[in-house]
Amino acid sequence: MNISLQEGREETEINWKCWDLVLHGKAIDDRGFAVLRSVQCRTSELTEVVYDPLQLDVAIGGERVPADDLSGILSATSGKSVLLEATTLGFAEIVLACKALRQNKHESFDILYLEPSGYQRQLRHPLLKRRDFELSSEVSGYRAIPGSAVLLGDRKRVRSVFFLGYEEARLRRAFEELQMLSPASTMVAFGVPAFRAGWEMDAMANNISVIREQNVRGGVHFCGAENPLAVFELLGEVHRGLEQGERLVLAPIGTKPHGIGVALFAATHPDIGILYDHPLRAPGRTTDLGHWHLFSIENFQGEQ
Amino acid sequence: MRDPIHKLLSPNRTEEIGYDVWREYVLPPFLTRTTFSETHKPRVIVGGRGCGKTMLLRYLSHESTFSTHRNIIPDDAVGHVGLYWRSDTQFAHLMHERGQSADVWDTAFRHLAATVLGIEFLRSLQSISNSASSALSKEDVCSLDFSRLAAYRPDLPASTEDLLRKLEDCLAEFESWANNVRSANQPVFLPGDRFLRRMIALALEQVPSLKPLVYFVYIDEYENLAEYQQRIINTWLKHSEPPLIFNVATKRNGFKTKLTDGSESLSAMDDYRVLDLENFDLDSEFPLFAAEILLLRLKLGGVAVSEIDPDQLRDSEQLPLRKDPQYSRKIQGALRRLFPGLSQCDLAYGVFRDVSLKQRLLSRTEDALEKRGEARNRSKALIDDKFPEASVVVPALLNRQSTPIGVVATEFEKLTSGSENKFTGQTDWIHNNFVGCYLQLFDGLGRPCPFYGGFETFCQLARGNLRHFLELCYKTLSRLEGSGIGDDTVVPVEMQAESARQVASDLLPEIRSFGPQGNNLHTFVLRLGSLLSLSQQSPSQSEPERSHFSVSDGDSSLTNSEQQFLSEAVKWSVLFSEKGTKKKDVTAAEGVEYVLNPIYAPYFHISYRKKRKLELTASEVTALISGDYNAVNKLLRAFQKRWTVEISEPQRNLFSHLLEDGE
Repeated sequence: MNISLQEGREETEINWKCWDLVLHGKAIDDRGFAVLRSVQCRTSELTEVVYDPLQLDVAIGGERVPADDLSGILSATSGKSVLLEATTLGFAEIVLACKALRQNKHESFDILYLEPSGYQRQLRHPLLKRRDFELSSEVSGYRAIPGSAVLLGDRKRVRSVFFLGYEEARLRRAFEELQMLSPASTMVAFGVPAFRAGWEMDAMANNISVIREQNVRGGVHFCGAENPLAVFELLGEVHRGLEQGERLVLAPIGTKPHGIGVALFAATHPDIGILYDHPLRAPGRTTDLGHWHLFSIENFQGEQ
Repeated sequence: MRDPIHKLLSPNRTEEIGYDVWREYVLPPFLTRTTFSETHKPRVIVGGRGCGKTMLLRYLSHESTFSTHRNIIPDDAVGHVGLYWRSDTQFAHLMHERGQSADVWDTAFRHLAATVLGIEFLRSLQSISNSASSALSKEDVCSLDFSRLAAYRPDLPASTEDLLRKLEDCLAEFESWANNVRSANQPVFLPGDRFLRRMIALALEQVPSLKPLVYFVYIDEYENLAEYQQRIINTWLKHSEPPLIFNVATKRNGFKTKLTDGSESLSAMDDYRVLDLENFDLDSEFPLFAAEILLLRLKLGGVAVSEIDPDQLRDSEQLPLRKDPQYSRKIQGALRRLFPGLSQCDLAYGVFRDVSLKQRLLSRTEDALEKRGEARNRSKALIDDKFPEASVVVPALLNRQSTPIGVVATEFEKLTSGSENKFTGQTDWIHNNFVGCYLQLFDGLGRPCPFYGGFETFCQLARGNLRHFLELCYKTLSRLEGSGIGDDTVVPVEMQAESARQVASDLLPEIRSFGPQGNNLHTFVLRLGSLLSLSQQSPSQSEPERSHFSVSDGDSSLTNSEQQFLSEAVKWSVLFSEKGTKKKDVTAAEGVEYVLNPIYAPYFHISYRKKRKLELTASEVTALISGDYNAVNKLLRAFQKRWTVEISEPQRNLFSHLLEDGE
């Protein structure tokens, strides 16, 4: 499989194509609306895909079907050009879609992602702020995604890789809910270089306390925050280094491009398990538009 | 010998220790010899996070009972062979809906249980045969023939080793099918507990020496199972009988259902006994247990600890010896030497030895006098370094409009002249007010308050939670890095207090990961803690040391979702619920009191002791649980006014948001 990367500070800097079908999610912020406006004129069909982690089903084009049936629903796309609009799609939808495209023998497709120019970040600070006293929505927690589930067990040898972002609570929750994870064989990966210089320090500062508390000691890796190819290559290396009987489990709880790298790797390596906590994306979470990325996937059915 | 602290006390989680916990385990001294050995009644083991459930379950499981570290294993050990199982809940969420009928998932879960427990059963035979026990030899295990299991599934092999491998393959096959239920072929499902019973029966038939064999299945984290999965386990629990007894371990309020497959629900009296791992005396039993665990960790790490004998700590036969008061004094004495605390009198003398604290006390006394129209220099007659405890409570008394200043002055004079007075005696102003007044002296000082130091204090902060107790010790001893720990080590009380504050602030963010409501539980604790902290700032200290609350009209005045929220808070030990006491209004409904987990007290700079209650109306509790920011802001401001609290610059940490928003 080959991944080619295009990046532009402005929409006009991307060498655009046209697609028969664009799969997208709900737009909840400026970026989402901007990106959907942009792709609307480059496709004949826009289809919204939303995964429900509680019911394990997918709402696609006004229909609800078990997530297991997505591949069948998308069988009509064989031979068509497809774009996954990853700014609005969540990780679960991306991995389900990548697996469905692989099953439907797509040789190539594209993934679009528009960075934020800023996040409403929650940084460590000794003063309690108004937001500390405000309510949040319920968290569904770590729930397996059909097709990417791994059965953890106290005796099962598992190597896990967590791709980390700003929210240390997501890593902490993993160790609270998945106590079979062994800190000794858990690796962490940070997005370095980050989308913006200095952001990587926020991610590291926020997560370091959990890494220390849990005695996570499987290693630390760095992949560009906007680079799914680097993730794919890192995972290839880790996968080749697995011992006999050891399973690889991935937790993409960091940047979206890291999630894309994980989804592509999982789609092309069926033995990979995924751990994911399905956070609800808050409206207005990100501010303004950052860089545009178009990732083109070729030779998707090839040998890995 | 001095060892690096990290090596000695980390890890803090059972999972890091492994399956055989025989060497590391300390049997809780509040258990009796007969707790596990002489009953075949199923157990529901209840306890909060960090109270030692998983460690106990692993101690009771075959790898510890038949540990290779044990030189002698009694013959009756086969009368209690434990099989440990913790279901993977993130995977279990996959086992519903997806176009499959409920029956399919029901049988799939039974199959999963049969496969996992079948593997554990075969491993237990290996554990027994590899141990010092004479009940089963390696040859016996090799000669076992399980071919009759083929009645359930034709591809099951006959020998122990082949069957073990096959069941492991069955797990992989099951995972693959559950991942792709639409496209993969459904495996031949094994029939849950019946499969396990059959395996046990086949072993018993073939090895006569195993006749007394009884298996106890311990299912950990039962509260995380889906409702239909709990129903299946409930059925197995209800119909438990030798040689297979099912037991579960759960957090509080962990039952989603008590239904079984039959017409009768699970009944606590008839079907199981509850073993509450936190139902012990926090003042006597927990300190001994906690001290023994810490001393064992130190001893296993190579520190010279003469007070304990590791073999005694894990031997149920020797439990009575550990209940001897002399033994308890010796063990706790060792911890008191390591983590010395200060008496109330010592704390008070400390105020007078510290220039800035003494100056604070003087200023507060003078300010209170001035506020009531008295001369500031009258303070000279109200502060006396020979009567430090009384002097510390004087500013609060002067701030009470109902107490004339003349009365305070007269009583202070009576005290100093040795006459009967209200500072001591029946009224006992010192006893009632000292801790609240002492804590106030440290408000915003940015330095540790010695009130939070001492072995007994650590036990009270941990309130039965071993993980929290060890975390307090670990953080404290980490500060000695470089000097290490020896039998002569004494940790200064300020260092302990600083660690307690650090542990409290480190544990607060953890709350976010406590179940689906984690984020809101975290917000609730910040809101409640801030409210209790406001109370602590009250200059008059008319109700000092508030650390718990009740709903004035009873819990029934709350909505169902609010009651569920409080139940969730109790489940995660963010709050402890206790039966209501001391109702000011005798006509008011009997209720429950909710105590904030004392481990968070140093963060909010409040007392960890359960002393006085804050009665809240239902609408005030609603604001704390589900009110928007403005409602909480309004609530905090109302109490700030009621308690005449002025928020000053040094207290900005907790109340900065109130200052930011202005009036």
